[in-house]
Amino acid sequence: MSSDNPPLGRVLFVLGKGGVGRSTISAALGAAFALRGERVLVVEWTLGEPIAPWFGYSPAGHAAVEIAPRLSVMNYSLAETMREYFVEHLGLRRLHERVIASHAMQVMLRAAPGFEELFFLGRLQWLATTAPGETGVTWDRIIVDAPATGHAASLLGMPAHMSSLPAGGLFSLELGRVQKLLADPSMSSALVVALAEELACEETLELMPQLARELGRPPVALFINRSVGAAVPDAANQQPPWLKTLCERVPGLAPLHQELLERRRRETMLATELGPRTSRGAVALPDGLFSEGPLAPRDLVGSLAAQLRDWLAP
Amino acid sequence: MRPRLHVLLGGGGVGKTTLAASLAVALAREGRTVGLLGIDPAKRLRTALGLSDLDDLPREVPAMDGRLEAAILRPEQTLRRWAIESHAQGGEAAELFRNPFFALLADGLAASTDSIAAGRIVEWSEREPALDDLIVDTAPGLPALEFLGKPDKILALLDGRLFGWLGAHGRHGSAKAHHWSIPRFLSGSLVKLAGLGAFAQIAEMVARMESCLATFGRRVSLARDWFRAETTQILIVASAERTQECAEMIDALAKLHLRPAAIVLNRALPSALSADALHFAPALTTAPNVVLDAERAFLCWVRALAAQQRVALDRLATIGVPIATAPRATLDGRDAALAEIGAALLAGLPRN
Repeated sequence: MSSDNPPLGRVLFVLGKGGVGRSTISAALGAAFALRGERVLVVEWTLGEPIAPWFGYSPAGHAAVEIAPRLSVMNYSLAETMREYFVEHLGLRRLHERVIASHAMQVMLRAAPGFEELFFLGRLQWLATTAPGETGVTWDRIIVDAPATGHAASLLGMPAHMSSLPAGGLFSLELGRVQKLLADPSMSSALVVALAEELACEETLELMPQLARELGRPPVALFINRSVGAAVPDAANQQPPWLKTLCERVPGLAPLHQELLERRRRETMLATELGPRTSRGAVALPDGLFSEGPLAPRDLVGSLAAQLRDWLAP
Repeated sequence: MRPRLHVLLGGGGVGKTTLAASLAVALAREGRTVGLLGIDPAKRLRTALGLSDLDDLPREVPAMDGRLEAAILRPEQTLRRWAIESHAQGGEAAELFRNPFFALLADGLAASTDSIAAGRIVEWSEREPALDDLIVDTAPGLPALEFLGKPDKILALLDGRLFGWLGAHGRHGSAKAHHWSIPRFLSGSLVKLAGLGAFAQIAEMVARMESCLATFGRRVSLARDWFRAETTQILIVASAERTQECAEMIDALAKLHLRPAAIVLNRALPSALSADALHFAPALTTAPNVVLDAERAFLCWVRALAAQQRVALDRLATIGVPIATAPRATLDGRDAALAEIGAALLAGLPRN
């Protein structure tokens, strides 16, 4: 890795608007690290499409499932994490059974703002630092398939908000650990996924400065997903000669061509405006629809992983 | 008369927000008085409507023949307004706003709008009795169902012993509240988890919010009935690349005793393309050297789009819910485009 490239943290948060393809990118990035020999865990905390079925497995639960060599997936569960924290980590089985797991307490904890986020981050911190000692499992890299933008920004900003509370006890202890994880660039980084589509572009433009503020450093990269890239080579050529012939044969094609040009224009905008505001710049990942045959999710993840492996080690 | 409620649900990126705006503009152009509320924390409704600004309180959107007002939910503002409204006589609201846990609650809610949204739609219909339609654009995916399921959870929380006990704690201090044995154990644990200061302030906040919570509870319970009204129309929006969640959402709705009026396949191709899109495709494989690269890529893409749409429609047809489509369109001349998309959608939906 050249000295120009700032570190990619051990915990990588993959962020972006709903529908931009965070899960696909998380899986592909995980696969890319795994191809380089790292042991990788992808943590899902979304209610979208689970990753494991793409590789022929049942959707992952709270326990990690290895879906490819060195690549595992788990789906975060608050209740399971609380049990592990109180019973296995702290050894407070009675407190957990009588209080924490009680219906009233569960209702309140789920309604309490920030609590779930804190627990999630605490869990990542544990996986990255303490878990190897307690469980014997070491993850070289943890990829977080984070919730959609609206929620994710509050996820990373939450510990800072909470530190102003007059709280003590275990809560403060955990908060301190989580803040340490987020503050250390070698431990955690954010990665933004965008689409060249009107509302997704706008959301990305808002997300970038907000993230930089809350993490205290820029995201490591901007991934432009479903790029039309080479398929629309010349954005200036609005009316290529072949289009007229095609439109005479098949009515209704002109607006679709217009749509592609628009996507190309937005991609250029994203790359030039936001690329420089990340530490490693913008990366265009091609749209699977430009292949000659339809791509199954697993094949799409595979082809993106090959590209990302090259990106990780130029 | 309650206004007709239209709730748009669907996975991320399927075009819910644009479709909600289209539906609103089309209904307003029919001469109806329409409200449009965005409860997605990502707040993209402003751009979809082509407005420079949109806020928690409704503002008028220029629309022909009829009235369209739009707002986006800003929970922290809604919460403050409700607190002020319920403490109109006393100066308690100011005290409440100073409580650090209230600030955290307001901050936290900014990202989880569904807790407030159910109460917010009832507030809107109370403030605007002339409303014919209220359209709600939700957050992506299954979490949006929280909006429909939340009333039960909130009512359970408000009726729960814990909340009453915390409130009593806040009003009288710990001495008088200590005759319940389980809460004493709980209070010890809460102090252990979060410290004594935090515990006292949470209790104080709950006590101060009691009257506000009572109004909230009443509205939430009205919302629960409204979701189940016959005139309420729940639409599940899908796009050809994203249909997997539809069946899952319909199952989750059924658990809440709700049923969607239709699945809307958004960004549908013009029928000329979707019906027989492949008739020009053989040219690609039989004579690849004749076409230029850009043309070839373009045709590949169109063919893939058409194939994807066919697969999506086949898959959706197995679900057993009526399917409507909304046309794929570029948004040049935004209002006209929105009205056109909305009118096309309305034409395919059951009207009641």
